[in-house]
Amino acid sequence: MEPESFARVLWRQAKAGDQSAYERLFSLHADRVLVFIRGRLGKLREKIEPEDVLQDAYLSAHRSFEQFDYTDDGAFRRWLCRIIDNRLRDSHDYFSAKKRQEVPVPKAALTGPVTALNRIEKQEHIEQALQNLSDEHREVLLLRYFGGLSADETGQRMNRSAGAIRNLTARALVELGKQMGPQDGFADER
Amino acid sequence: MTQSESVNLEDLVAAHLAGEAPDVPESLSDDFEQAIHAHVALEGLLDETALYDAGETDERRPPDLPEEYQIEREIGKGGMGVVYLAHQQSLNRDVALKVLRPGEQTFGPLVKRFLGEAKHLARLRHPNIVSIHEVGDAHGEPYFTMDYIDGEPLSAEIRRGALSPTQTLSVLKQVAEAVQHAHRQGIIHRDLKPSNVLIDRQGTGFVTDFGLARDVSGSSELTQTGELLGTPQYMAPEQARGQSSMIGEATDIHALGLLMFEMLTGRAAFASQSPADVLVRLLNETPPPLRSLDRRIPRDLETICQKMLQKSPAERYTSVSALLEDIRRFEAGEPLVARRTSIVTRSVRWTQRHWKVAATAAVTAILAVSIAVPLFDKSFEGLVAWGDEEMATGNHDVAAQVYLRALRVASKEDRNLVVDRIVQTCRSMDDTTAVVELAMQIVELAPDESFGEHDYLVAQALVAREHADANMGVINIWHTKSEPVLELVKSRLELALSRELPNDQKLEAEQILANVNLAISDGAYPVRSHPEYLFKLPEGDANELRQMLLNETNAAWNRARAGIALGKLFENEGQTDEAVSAYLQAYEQVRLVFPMYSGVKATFGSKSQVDAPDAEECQLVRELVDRLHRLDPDSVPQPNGRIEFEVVGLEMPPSVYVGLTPKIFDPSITNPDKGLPHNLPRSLPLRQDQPVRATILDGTYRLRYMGHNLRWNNDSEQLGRLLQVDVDGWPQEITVDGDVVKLPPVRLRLAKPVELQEPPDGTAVNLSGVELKWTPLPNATRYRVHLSARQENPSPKSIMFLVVDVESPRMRFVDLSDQNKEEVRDNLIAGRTGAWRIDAYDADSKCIGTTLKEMRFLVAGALATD
Repeated sequence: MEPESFARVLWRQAKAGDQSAYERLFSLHADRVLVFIRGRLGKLREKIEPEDVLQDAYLSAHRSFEQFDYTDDGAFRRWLCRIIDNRLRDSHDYFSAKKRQEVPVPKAALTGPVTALNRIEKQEHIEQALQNLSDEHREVLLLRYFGGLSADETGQRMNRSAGAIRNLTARALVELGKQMGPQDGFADER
Repeated sequence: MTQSESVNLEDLVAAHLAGEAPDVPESLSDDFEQAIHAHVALEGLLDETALYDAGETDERRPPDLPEEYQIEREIGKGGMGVVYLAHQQSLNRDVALKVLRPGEQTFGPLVKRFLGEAKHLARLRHPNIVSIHEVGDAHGEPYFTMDYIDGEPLSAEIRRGALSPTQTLSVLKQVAEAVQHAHRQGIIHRDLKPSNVLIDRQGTGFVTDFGLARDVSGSSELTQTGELLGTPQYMAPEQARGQSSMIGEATDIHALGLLMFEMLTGRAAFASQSPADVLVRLLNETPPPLRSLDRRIPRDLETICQKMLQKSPAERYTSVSALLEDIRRFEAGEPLVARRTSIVTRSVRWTQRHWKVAATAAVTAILAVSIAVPLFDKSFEGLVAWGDEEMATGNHDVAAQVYLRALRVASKEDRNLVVDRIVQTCRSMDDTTAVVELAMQIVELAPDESFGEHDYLVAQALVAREHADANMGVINIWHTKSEPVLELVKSRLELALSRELPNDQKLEAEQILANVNLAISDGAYPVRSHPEYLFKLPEGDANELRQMLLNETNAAWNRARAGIALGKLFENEGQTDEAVSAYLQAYEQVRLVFPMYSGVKATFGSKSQVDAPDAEECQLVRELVDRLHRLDPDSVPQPNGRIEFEVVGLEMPPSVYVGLTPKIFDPSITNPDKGLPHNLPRSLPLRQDQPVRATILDGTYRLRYMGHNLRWNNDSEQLGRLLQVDVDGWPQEITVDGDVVKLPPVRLRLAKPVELQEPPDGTAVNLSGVELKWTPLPNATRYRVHLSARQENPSPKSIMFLVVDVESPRMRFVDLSDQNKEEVRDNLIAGRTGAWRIDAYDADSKCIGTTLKEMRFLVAGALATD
């Protein structure tokens, strides 16, 4: 049998009603989604707690879990990022105002100590580089990579043509690469 | 792709991303490499490679164990392990054998927790706790064996129906004694639930599954990952909130309360479909009183259970011993400790006083109808006859006014006659806002009369009125009300609940009723100080403690505590150098987390400018510094530098205290949003006679302005409310290097009051129609509307749920964004009380105006769906 991704198995179990599977599926994505949230918030991080947004996403995604279909690996992350993007787009005030009841959000346990640490370092490195980009560059990368949006879809959100978005993506990538500095340790990725 | 001058980088990268292999001109190759590098890194970050070996979870194979153990069958599985019945050959006995779930052993923390459970069990010897026999490792898979209990879990017993109070107490006592024993060993179970209690054939109860247990004396590293631990349905609020520092004995007491509830009623206190729902419910809802589910349950047991299920750990029994004592008292027929002294009921002639006040209040909705004939020259009889006539012809609102006038002139004997008619009028009216206002005129005179379908709103209006003068603060207002008020509210709510209600309204009414009932039956719970475990240092030998100290994944605070414990260990053994070294390492953790603490210590000479911290954490830091001083005075870093700034602008009278709250932290050590004790950051008292100074150890810190707080005398209240503190030009980062860091001056100024105009305070409104209006301020370019809603649980309080910016001095709910509308519908359901206030901002986003007193409205009609 073709090996499946862990996320897909969890999705099937969650779909079948296993609540703990949803928790674990969410936790598997929490750290990367947080990168998205922090990047998406930009300077607003002073006003809005990324954790609040994550918690909101946790509940929102749970509410509409029925509508989610696991088409391929990464679909869940893209779905979460889009939910978050939509929520943030018209509700900045909601997040900065609401004194919400805290609902704990499951986050990933470290897997193997070495790989996990490695990954966290890389993640922090990329996140830092993302934060140093212009808003426009950051947004296009977040939407396209994290949210998995096509150039067309991204264009609609950013009021640009698909062609302009492709160019913007490329420029943003160049900038990100510069920000990330020398490729130590990353070159052998993939 | 041609290699021409016009080829630009974007095209190349785009082509590469599209799967082509473009020729990259030499001049662009560096940039191209970088873009691809970024692309690969992003993809790598997002890649979900964790593959799953199918077939392993669905059919669990028994572990490959030594021949000593013969697996008979699987007898249970929990969150983190599978338990088998096994036969131990050499001793010829049955044992329970637990292994981690195959397929999950790759999770490092799980293995750790699994072995932690074995360790905990090994420390516990109690007749009601299963004993552990052996811990082993079968081909890399850890397992342990323990007593086999021939019986079934309590959950199975409850599934067959509720237990009698006697049975319940028998099981509860045994479980409580087991838990008490664990607590004495410093172990909190954290996952007590019916399926974790085994009952053998003799009826003896055994607590099992210490898989989530936490050694409060040890480091909490296993919970650092923020995983949702425990079973939502059986969590205590502090667990559900992830407030790991508050988890302690009281957490288990809450679980025991849920256990008791379930045994007595046969149903879980917080049963729901989804874990998220359960969490929300257990944070917000009080379980129904036991006796409302089964009248046969003794009142004292209800009291005991209620005390165990308090939302705040401090309000539960202080220890399992206290709980066992109350159970003993119950069984011996003695009065309970939990039974609180009854409130002193002042028998004022309440009704009489209030109805007069009510009858003279403005009746906005009704007065809107104009009546041609003057009311004042009619006799009582004439008014009643006129009102009857208007009723007969369907002019309900006119009739209402005429009856109200009649009520005012009625003699005591005639009053009931008019009240009856007004009640009838209410029942026939459709305009909910008018009904509410009318009904509120007579509600005390007709405590048991039904207003028909309007009962719910009338009950809520009454609740709102009682809340109105209570400032919606942290105090549970029901505990401050006199008995007649409580009785009136109670009978109103019961009337409302006797009708069919939509679910949300029903829940709301039940919650308020529960609070009122609690207030009627008892007084307030005594407030208890922080539990002792906060002071506790981790236990362990030098190696274990050193590991905790050095483990960088632990929170700085926990590392510091381990360091203090380690230092004490060395100190006791007379190894001064090692002790100093450990203390210094501990200090390194906290001095950066709490740089301002260093200024606190009196031994540093001059008295600190900083508000003295008083929390347990601070005491530990003080103790640490004390010890360092005693052992090696030179070792403690001396803070030489400080920040300094002047306070300019408005001059404050001495009666006003203004504290500025900056957050100063070193980002390399601590995440400013997590892990700081809640009493931090401290506030700096602002003074105007000389510069404000705060001593800080050398280092580079981030600086964040968090806000300001005020204390003032009553006569300067207005001043305090309007005071604004501007910290223009403060840097985001400061470096202290033994010197004074001058910060730009802090400026004080007054904002202008923003008067709220419409709707009038305390009126009933229909959200789809109402418009909020306030007086405009010159120079204001933006107004911020703060909307809150009163919620009843666990105690009445006002929750701000929405902040909306508008440009003109008015706001209609129907104009809000869909998202905000949804919030309004969620929070301002019909019957709730909403409150609003305004802040005004100028073009520079400075707050130039604010509302001195917020206004309230009763939601007569919720915001309609589009």
